[in-house]
Amino acid sequence: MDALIEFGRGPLFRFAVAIALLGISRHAILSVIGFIRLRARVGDKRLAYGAIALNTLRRLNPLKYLVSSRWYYTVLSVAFHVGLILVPIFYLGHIRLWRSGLGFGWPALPGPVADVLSLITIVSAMLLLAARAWWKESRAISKAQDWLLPPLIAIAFLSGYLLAHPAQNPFDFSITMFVHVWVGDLLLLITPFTKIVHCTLLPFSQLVAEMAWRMVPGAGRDAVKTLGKEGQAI
Amino acid sequence: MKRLLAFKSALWFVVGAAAVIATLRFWNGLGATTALTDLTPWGFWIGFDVTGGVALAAGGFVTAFAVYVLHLDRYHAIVRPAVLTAFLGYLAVVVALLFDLGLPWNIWHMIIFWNPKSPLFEVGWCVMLYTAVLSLEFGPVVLEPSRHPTLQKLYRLLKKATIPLVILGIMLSTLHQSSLGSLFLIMPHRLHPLWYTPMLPVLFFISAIGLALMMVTTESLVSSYLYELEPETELLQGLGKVGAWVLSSYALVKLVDVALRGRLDQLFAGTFSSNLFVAEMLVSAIIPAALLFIPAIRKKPSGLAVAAFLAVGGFVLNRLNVSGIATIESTGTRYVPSWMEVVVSLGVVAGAALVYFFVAEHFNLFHVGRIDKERFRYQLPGFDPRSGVINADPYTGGFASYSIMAVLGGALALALVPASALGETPIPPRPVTAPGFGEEIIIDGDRAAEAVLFNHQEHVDMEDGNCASCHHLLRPREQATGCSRCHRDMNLKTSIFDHTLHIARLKKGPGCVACHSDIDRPKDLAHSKPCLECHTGMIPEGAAIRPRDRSRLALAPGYTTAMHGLCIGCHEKVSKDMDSKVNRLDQCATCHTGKERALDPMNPDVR
Repeated sequence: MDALIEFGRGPLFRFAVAIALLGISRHAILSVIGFIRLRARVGDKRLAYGAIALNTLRRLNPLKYLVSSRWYYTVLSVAFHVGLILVPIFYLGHIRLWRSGLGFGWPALPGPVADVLSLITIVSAMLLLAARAWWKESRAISKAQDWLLPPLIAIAFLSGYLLAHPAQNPFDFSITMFVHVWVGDLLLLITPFTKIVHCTLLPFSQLVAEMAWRMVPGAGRDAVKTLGKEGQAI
Repeated sequence: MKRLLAFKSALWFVVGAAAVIATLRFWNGLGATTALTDLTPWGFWIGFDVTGGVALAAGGFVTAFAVYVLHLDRYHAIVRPAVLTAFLGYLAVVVALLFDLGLPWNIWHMIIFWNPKSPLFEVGWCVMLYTAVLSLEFGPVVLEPSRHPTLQKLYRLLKKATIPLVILGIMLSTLHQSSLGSLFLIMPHRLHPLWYTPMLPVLFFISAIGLALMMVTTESLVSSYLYELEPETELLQGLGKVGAWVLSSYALVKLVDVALRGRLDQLFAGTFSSNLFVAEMLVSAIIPAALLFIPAIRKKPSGLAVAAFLAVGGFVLNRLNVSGIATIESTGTRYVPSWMEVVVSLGVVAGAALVYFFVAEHFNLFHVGRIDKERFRYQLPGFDPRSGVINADPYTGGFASYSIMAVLGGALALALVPASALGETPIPPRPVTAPGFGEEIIIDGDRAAEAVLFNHQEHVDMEDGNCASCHHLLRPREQATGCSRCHRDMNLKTSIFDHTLHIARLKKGPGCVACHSDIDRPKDLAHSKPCLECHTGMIPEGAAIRPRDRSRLALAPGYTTAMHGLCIGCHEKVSKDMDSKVNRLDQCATCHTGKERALDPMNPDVR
């Protein structure tokens, strides 16, 4: 078990971090290339970049969704994301691992704050999953990863919480550590291939949507028809 | 075009892995990523990338010579790919050299600081000039499609300058291909006698011509295979015929040279080096020449491919042998390149190959117009489920697939690198051996370096017999713990905390909380009870020992640090109280007299 934990904290962790970082950088680069190519094809190339950036930021403000019919989704989602982002990066134990590996670290969250955020993330992940299962409309648009990601994240956070509080941990220390390390690695590994990548693509979302409006629907099909090249490669 | 997609994906994978290793090489230095030592400063990068790379790129001048000087116009179709291969080959040599040089930012020094007596100086200048010439020779291919008037003018100018450029290229190549051999003339005591010969420059030059013909054949066959073009068998069998004569001449010159130098007995000595020499001769020249002399084999692309691959592999082995492997016997070194060196070399080659494909797909490289792009469309516009990217353009689709391979390659490389490549080069352990006991003792912790004659009795008298002034009291009732009991390595810190012992002693009492008083805090040194809270007598009052962190004594500093800390601290203090003219207590030479014979590591008890 110790060998597996060391493997998960060593080579596998490095592999997972590299996949996550290089993978999301690749998405960002491809998005920029795709955007430049798309821009070359549209007629009206004028874009109000400032307004688009402002709009992107505005969409991040959760308060404006509180008056919608699904306000509880907003509350749960915000609660879920705060812990999800802050705890893995600013938990003291993780920072110490970075410091021993890289030689530098950064300030940590106070222990009790990290604990509360972890618990909130675990509970909100479960509630989001329950809400997804409860409503027919949510069920209809859900894919496999939508069902799998919240429990995986909850397991990573729960095992982490139990490791930080050995007195409350009913399971064996090694098994808890194994689960925490390997589920954490798995989440990093799947980052570029699942919707987790939205953390990087967020700045482009409004930009691409704005550009998409400038494309005439079915333009490609019409061009093929005009050229008489239906069914051929274009 | 699946084979092209697969091949390019593999190349991107290697480039991604090499990029990560190259970053680590520049971040943490040569020691962290290579197996190079002071005894073997020239390793795989010099053997494969530089001497091998220059030879592999010889196709440019040989083909240009055949077409523009000998007017063998039927070979015109292979000039452009050959010149491109040469250009990329030389660029790869320069890039690889940057990895190998300890101070790569000083690469320009040879331009200003001349040393005309050095073959390396000549090679450096020739490679630099020839790379410039090749860029001008290849320039028209890139400028050809441009409609810009200035670029068109430049295109016409370069076309007119073709013949002078070709002559200049041949001249420079002849100079440095042979000079690379001259480099090894200065190491007769290092290189194995089978390889060392005054003929090295001549052999390097002839082998470069033979390798050039085989490399052009390889490059043409691989291109036509990947792009599904008709192989230029007729042209290539002409090259094969000439190649057979060049390779057999090379083999003959080499064997006659060995015989004239009286080294024939070593050829069949059955040693590692002699077997390697025979294998190299067979693979590089004898077998390919024999194959190419047979017309039936020469006429088939598969036959040509086998002969060309063997010769290319054999000559790369020759360059690796001369620049490294053939020196193993005389130097006694056991240099085996680290896998990271190999990955960087392969990455440089893969990068050059990708640029070649880019040029083939965007310019008129094969004199048949641009490669028909429709033929290697990777996917239709749309959502790529593999990459999760919406592609407006099918060619970005290709890039999306390739980039994911580069990401995988980079991640795998990062996972596999040893810890030493990620940080500083680890300090090798040097265990401490305790000095003897007596009135005067010789302190020589690692039994190899400076020894200090220490008058123990004099110090005991000065401290009125109080051992605890200088010694720890590690265990209960101990009077004086020997320094090397805790400071067990000359330079490294030693962990002196025995966790198992503490568990055994404390489990019947307060348990873990005896030290880990706050169970919710991480169980590490920083959050545990300080050692001195229980071990109150470990450092007695008034002792000269001054640990940097009195509360955390689990890591004992290295022996040298501990001894210096103890001795120098006290000596400086005493020195200030005395007349500085009569005492030299605060100076290194007072103790390190250089007169004390260091203890013999083989016989530590003999003094």
